[in-house]
Amino acid sequence: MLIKSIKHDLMATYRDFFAIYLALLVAAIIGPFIIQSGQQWIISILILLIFGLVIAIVVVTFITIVRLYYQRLFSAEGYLTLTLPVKTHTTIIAKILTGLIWSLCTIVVFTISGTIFTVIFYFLNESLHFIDMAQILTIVNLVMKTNTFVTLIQSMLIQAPYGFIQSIYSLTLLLFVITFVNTSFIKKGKLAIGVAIYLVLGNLISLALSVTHGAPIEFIGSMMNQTTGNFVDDLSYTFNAGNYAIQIAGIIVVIAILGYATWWLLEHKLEIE
Amino acid sequence: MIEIKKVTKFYGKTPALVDVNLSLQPGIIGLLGPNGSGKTTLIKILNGLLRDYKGEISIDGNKVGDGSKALISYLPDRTYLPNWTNAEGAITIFKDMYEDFDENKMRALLDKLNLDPKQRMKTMSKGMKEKFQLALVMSRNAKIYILDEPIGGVDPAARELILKTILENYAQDSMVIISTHLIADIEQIFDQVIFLKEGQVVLHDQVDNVRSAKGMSIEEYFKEVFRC
Repeated sequence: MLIKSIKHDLMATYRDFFAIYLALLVAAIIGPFIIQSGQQWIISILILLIFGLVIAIVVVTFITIVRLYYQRLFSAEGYLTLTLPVKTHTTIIAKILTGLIWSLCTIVVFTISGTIFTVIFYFLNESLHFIDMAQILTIVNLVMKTNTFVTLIQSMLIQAPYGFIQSIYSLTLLLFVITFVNTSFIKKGKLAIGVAIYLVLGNLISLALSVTHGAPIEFIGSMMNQTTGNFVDDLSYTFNAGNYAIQIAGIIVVIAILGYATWWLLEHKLEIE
Repeated sequence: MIEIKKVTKFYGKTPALVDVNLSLQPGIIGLLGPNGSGKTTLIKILNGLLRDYKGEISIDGNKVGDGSKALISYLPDRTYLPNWTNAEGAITIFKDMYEDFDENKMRALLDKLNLDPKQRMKTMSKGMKEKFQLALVMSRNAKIYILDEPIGGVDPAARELILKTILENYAQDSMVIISTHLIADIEQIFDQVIFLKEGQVVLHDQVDNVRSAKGMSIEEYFKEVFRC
């Protein structure tokens, strides 16, 4: 039932996300041509548009996930979703995984769009053609051997699992808040109360998590000389596995609590209008 | 089949159901009452859409949950399918989610009701949407059918067609609960009736008993009970 629930949630929402992805890809393809036109004012507008689009993608993805949760569970569609013979915890997991899938898809499409933009921009600008692939590979090879690069990549890889779990936490918090405002506890002002709870609870949880452990990764040295601005490549890091374990365990506990709270609300306090 | 014991539901301080006790057995049951009498609230509770209530409910031995939801085929009083979907999309959902869904029956019903399987919900009229959802619901070989105002928003000709669809498609050993306030159009198909008044059950009896005891039709008796 979990796979079927996710399948139908994806089918119900793919139109919204495809529209966002299409806008991104179109911007990535058209953007370099507009820059090529050389008109300064057009370039300025384009840069503003790209900046706006990046923010819009994040905001629209968030709003679409909110709509996915609200519409599928608590609007008229909830009369179908919540009367299907699916266990409550399966419904919750399906919604969180669907949100996670769309978040990851957005990151992938974003990366692809950036690559398309860069490639088209490179081929359109003859001034960049003096850089051949061999030169690029040599530069990349040199960069990869620096302490700074190795340090940054390793620290990012170490933090990646935590980032992934944190995405699950964000979606669980969102689902909990949307569920809470659609129970018998809240009669009026659901949107305003929901936004307030999301912000307050999110900050309280972040604060609570931050005081339970020290930083799992601490950077030592720097990549640049502060006075001369020269690249000194003296960056390294220390990794505290204990702090990292506490950090991950802490957020997993929060996810479990929020997940259970959402389940309890759906089982005992649900009130569909 | 359905046991409802001391069920009470408040919306804030307003009572919607007060100490409702019912023992329902297979047959066609009319759930009757004026607007605001608690019909939809009771139906929502049976379908698990309202969970904050007092009392106990047993549906063929199950508490309200995924077990009971597998037994009930529910037609709400509104369109619950998204605008972008069509019959094919809805059939996929029902086929995936309900073991008792009969796709052949659904296609036959679509044909009978003159509905195009490719037509999207957003281009359908209100009457078409009601017929379409009814076809979905009646295409399940369910133990219990709960239909909330199935003829509420359609013209008299369509009402007849909807009633015919219900009568021709429910399994004989199943239970059909029909909530309505359009009693004259539908009373001939009821085996039992329940009158709900201000959240309380004021009558639950066999239709024949009511008619013979009161010497009037169900609609006439309804008007007498609910006279303002």
